Amino acid sequence: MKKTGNTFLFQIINFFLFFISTSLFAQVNLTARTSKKTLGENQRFRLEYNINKQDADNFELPNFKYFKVVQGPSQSVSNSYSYVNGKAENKFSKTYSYLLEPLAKGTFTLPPATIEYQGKKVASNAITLKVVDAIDLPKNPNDPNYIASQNVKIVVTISNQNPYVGEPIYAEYRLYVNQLSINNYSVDTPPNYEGFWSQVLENENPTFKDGKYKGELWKYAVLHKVVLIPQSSGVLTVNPMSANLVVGVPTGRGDFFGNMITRNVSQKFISQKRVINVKPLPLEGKPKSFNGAVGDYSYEVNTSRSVFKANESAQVKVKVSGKGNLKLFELPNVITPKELEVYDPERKEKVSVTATGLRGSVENAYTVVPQYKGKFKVPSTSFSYFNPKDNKYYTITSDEIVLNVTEGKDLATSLGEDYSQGALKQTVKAIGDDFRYILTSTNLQRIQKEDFYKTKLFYVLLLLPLFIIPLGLFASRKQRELSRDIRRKKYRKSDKLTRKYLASAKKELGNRATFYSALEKALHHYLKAKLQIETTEISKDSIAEILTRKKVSDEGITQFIEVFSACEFARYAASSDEKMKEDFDKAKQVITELDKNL
Amino acid sequence: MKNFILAILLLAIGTVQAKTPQEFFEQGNIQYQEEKYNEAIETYLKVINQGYESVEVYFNLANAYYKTNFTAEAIYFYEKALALDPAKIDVKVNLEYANRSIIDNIKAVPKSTFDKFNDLFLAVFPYDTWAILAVSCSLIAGLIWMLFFFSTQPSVKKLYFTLATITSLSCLIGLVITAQQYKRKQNTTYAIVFANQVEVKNAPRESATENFVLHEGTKVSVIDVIGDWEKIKLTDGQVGWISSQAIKKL
Repeated sequence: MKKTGNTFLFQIINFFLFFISTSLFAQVNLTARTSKKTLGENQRFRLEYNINKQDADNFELPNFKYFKVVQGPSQSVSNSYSYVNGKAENKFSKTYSYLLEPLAKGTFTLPPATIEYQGKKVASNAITLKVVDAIDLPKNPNDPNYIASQNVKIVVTISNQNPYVGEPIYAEYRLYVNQLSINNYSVDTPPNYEGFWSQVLENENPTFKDGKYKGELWKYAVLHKVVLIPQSSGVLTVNPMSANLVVGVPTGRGDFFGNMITRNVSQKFISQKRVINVKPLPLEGKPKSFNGAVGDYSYEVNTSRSVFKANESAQVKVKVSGKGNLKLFELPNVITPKELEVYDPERKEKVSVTATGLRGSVENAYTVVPQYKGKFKVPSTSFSYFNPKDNKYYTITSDEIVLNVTEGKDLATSLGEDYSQGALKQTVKAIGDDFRYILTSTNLQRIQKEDFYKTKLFYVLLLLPLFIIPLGLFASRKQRELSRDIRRKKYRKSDKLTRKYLASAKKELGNRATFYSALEKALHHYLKAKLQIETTEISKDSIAEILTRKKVSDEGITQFIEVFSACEFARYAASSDEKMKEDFDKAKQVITELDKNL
Repeated sequence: MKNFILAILLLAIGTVQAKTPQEFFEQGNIQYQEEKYNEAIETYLKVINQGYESVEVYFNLANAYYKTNFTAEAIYFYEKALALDPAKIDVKVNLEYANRSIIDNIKAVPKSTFDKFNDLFLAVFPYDTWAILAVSCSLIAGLIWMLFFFSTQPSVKKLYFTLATITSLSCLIGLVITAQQYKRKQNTTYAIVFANQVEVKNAPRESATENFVLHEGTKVSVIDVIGDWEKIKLTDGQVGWISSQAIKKL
């Protein structure tokens, strides 16, 4: 608790002490000041000491080692009273000024000066100065050359120090004059601009106008006007222009009539070198069709006529108008159908150069002469430009143009391309001349047609025969076998009957009628067994024929027929037993004979 | 009363909806005749949107597009009509007209002998027709083989055998043609460039270098697809990748 009290007391004391000290400092103050901090070896500077209290005395200048006092001390005193908030305030200032000249190069410190005030010595602040190489010294202020150089200036004004590539800027070379007359001027070195496209504006009879130079009212005349369009980004320089001027400088003396006498001074004036920092165009959002147009434009493509005949001509015009760097970019190319004959474009420029850039329009006119009839489409084209004001790219797309050629030759079609000679030759093919009209009758079908190919049905139907054929093969075999069985049965039966009848015939030998009947039956059954044909109703000739077909020997057939004839003959005629026996043997022989062949 | 209005409304809707594709087709023809091409386009499109097609509706629609200077659309529908009937002369003539207004002039490389043969003989029928022919041949061959097996007379049998061999062979040939045509159809998809101007790149990437530029209305064949990019081939043999948005497949 006690400790706190002590601290508080200490703080209060401190505070008062501080107050007193500051008020003391405020009371007497010797301030040193120089006109320059850095100077050439051959330059002089002013050194001032300022005391803010009266009654200070015994001002003592320090000892300057590297400086020489050229002039001074000169003293000036100012005293002012003010009455603020019911309190009178006295402002006093006494200045000791010297003009010094450096004696050597380097960085030097001016030691503090002192003054006595109420018995106390007050010191000023120290000042550090830098002395560098000698620089051109202004001449005698009364020298007319000096006056001229101080009061005539060539100044370059540039509308935009930081433009985009392609953005026009305007530069003016102004001659500023302060109360002097210019009697003559000639340009010594014209300005030149590296990395700029330039267009000098007309500037006849420059006249003087009022203008401000560094805040003062001077007169100026424009010597040179130019529109510059930077061609590349980076730091570009506008090189200085120099001009020889004859300046009339008043001498300060009057002639006999009291008119001022002026002296003509011829002097070379050089403008400053100006540096322009050109920004590259932003990459972001750069359209593909951009080809360097910077400014504010409108774009259109149109045709002089859209419906015409073959061999008449039409003009397709591509036009960009507006302001900016017109002339400095290519117009978009128009692509045309291959069958259109298009000539090289004719370029028309209506451009005026103003302080804000190039203004007007640039146009490409393509002459189009179609050879064939039909519709030809000139597709839309795009033109892009960068607007430096909005910092944005814009793209204008033209409408497409349709050229309708109503009459003319019919086009050679590609349907009949002929490659016979190596090169493509188009042959005219008579496929009809006019655009065909719509068809009015139709048979509409569902679009989603089901494919038959590769469906189940397709495979089933395709492979069906492959399954059926073996089946059929099998069935036919079976059937044939079956029929063969039947035949065999029949054959066996006939064979049996043959034998039976032959046997009965043998038994009946001597009995003419039954013998021959049995023999005949036996022969028939034999044929039936062998040939599977019923021969009872067939004539002998037919039997002979069938047997010939079966490739039975002629001898066998003759014998067979003989036996047959004998059987028939014997029915009606008498026959001996020998004959019967003979016939029987013959029949047997014939059967064995036939067996060989059948 | 309410019901009555409802009934009338329903009736009205009924009559509106009752228009058959055939009626739309005829309405489109009338509009075309009156030179209301835009309306005709709408009407013809209704036919197609209902799922119907025919050479004539595609042809008429393409004509209407041509009249209104929509070249790419016109060519697209002419090609569709030709796909249905490759021999339709009216379509060929008008397609020729439409092709005049396109920019690209792509020379076709001469066709190979096989291609010529293919166009002359094999492509006369779509593969489905060939499939039907093959199946019919197969069935006929099966029948004749049966007759062959069941016949006993040698001369008849000989005749059947010859016939059966011929039909079986034709069945096989038909199958080969079907498969070949099917494969050809599957492998060659055509497309029409719809974009005004489009760059064809050498790889399916936006950053790839540009091979060449195509314009609206050009017919290309699509041979491969990766994502949003289609590999296309021109009639002169040039190949490149194109954005799917730029083309419309037939």
